[in-house]
Amino acid sequence: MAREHWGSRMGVILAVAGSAVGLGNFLRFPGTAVNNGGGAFMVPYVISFLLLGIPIAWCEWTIGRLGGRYGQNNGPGIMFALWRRAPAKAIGTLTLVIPLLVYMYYVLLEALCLRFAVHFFTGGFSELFDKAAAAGEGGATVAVVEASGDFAAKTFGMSENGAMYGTSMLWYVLFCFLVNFIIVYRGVSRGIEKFCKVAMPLLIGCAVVILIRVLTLDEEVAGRTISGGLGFMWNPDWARLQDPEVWLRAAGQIFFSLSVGFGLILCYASYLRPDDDVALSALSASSTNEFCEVVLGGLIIVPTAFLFLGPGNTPDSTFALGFFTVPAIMYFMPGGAFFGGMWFGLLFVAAVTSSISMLQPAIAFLEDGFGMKRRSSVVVLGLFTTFGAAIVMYFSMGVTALDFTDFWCEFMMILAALGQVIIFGWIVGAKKGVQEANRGAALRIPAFMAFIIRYVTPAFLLIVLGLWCFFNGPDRLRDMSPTIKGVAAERGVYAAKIAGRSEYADLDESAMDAKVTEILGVAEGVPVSAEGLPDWLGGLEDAAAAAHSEAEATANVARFVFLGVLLVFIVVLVLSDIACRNRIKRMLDQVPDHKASMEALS
Amino acid sequence: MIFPDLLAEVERLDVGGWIMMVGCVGLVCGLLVFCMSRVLKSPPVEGNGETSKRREDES
Repeated sequence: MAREHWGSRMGVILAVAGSAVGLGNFLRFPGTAVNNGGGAFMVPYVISFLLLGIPIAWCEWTIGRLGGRYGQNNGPGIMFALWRRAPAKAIGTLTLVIPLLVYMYYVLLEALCLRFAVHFFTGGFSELFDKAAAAGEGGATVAVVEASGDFAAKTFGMSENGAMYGTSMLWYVLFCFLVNFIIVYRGVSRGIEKFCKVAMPLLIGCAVVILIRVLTLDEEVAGRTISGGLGFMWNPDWARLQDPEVWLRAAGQIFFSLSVGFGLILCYASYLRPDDDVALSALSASSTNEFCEVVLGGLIIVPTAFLFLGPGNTPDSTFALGFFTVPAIMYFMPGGAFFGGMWFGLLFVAAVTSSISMLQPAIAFLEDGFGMKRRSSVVVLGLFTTFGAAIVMYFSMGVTALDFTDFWCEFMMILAALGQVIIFGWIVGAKKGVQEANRGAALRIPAFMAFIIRYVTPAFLLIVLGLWCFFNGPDRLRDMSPTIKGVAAERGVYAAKIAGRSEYADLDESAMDAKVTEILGVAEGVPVSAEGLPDWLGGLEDAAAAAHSEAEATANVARFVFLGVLLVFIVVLVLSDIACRNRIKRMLDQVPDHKASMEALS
Repeated sequence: MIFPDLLAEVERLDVGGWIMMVGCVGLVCGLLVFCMSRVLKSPPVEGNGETSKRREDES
């Protein structure tokens, strides 16, 4: 059977850039930068790009092309071709599991972007916000932001589990599934490449149009200007560079934004020919991603949010910034209905280019590992991802399932990247790996990169993993305990009532905690007893009990997600093992120069 | 809230902000132009429309 290849160099560059460019570039980057020192954030960001992003991208492109030379387009097969040991199968399994799990929630965000684009273009948002602004008692800005948040929460079914099934989101999700699978079914060259060659220029063109609109805004809103917004985003706060969390966030932003290390590039690069360039292509795809992130992401949303909403009306999560706040910003911007539709349209296109890249590794695995034809593999994958997405869609209350799936995927991404860098730097050998990367290269990778890939990048990744676990682990583990969460929620109900009293209005956070402990008579983490509480705290028992049971339910969803992720990993690991022991091994044994070339490499 | 209250005092882009913004935007645009100009200058890769069509026909 003839192997499939990319049709052009620009095609593969745009496909890889398309897989990386997504909501993280346009929403997560500006939010993270402005919260972590503004312009100063760019110092650790650029260092992370040079020591983490680019080296891992070069590793992944090279490993992928090498695997493709041995007839493997799937993560486990590629890793097994390079290193016939059990850890290679586990690393390969991660490169399959991560894209699959991410797809299950990412497709919901993709559908939400489309829903918002349609709502802008059909005038739904204008009508909603006009009414809200007219009726708003706290001012038009507050009313519109609240209406926007309510609409997003209702559309995404955030009030209770299963609520999303009762909204139009179901149809949008089905449409997104259809679009993604049609593109993937058409194949790498005729489907993914053709789509990305149209979608990426379209996406960048739309973003540039919006950027020009933003930079030419000459409005002055309550004394704020767009120049003030740019200052808000970019004025550096150098003192923040002393905070290790800022460095972690910069490394995380680069790592997750470039989509390096977790299997997408690995799969795409395996469709290159043995002498196709990887060095320049990897750098070009990364620089396209950086252009979308720093230039388009860094100059559009935060300056505009500052101008129209001011500093007090913007929530602190990417989801809330993107879907609660942006519609309100667009409403206040001249021509906002059109630009809002265009903005969410481009986010939808960006999400599609990312989604299809998440499906391709599993399609390749089913084809290579089990000899399935394209149609069968698409059907099997379609059923599996529909089942997974349906579960994430059901547990929509407070986006808990989405949030926890994302958390575990981030953890696995760092492990997968570490595994790939170790295979490249230590199993294949960094010097030989760089020589292999330079085969057919249109841009030669300098020799000192071998040292960086062998020592610096793995060390950097280990530090990122350690800090990531240190900052996120304890809270996330607590979130999975129904008892701890329940007791904390119960205490929160009483604490809110205490904080609302005028005599405690001047207390800071720690003093307030001490005051709550004193009044409730129990330390944090201990259930509150209704006996002995002051009279003015009476009557809160029912509210506290309701908060307790809601928090318990959330913790149970978090546990369920953890077990689900673990189960998927184990099942795919078993499947990878079966495939590697049978069909993939036979395929590799049939490659005449496999053993000799692997010996030459390592 | 995403934006600390202190930042509400920022009124305009200062020199440091200007340098960081123009520097980063220039760096990224320069890198992109450098890469894309080399990609466009390098010889084209042989197309595989026929290859992928044959593969799908066979499957």
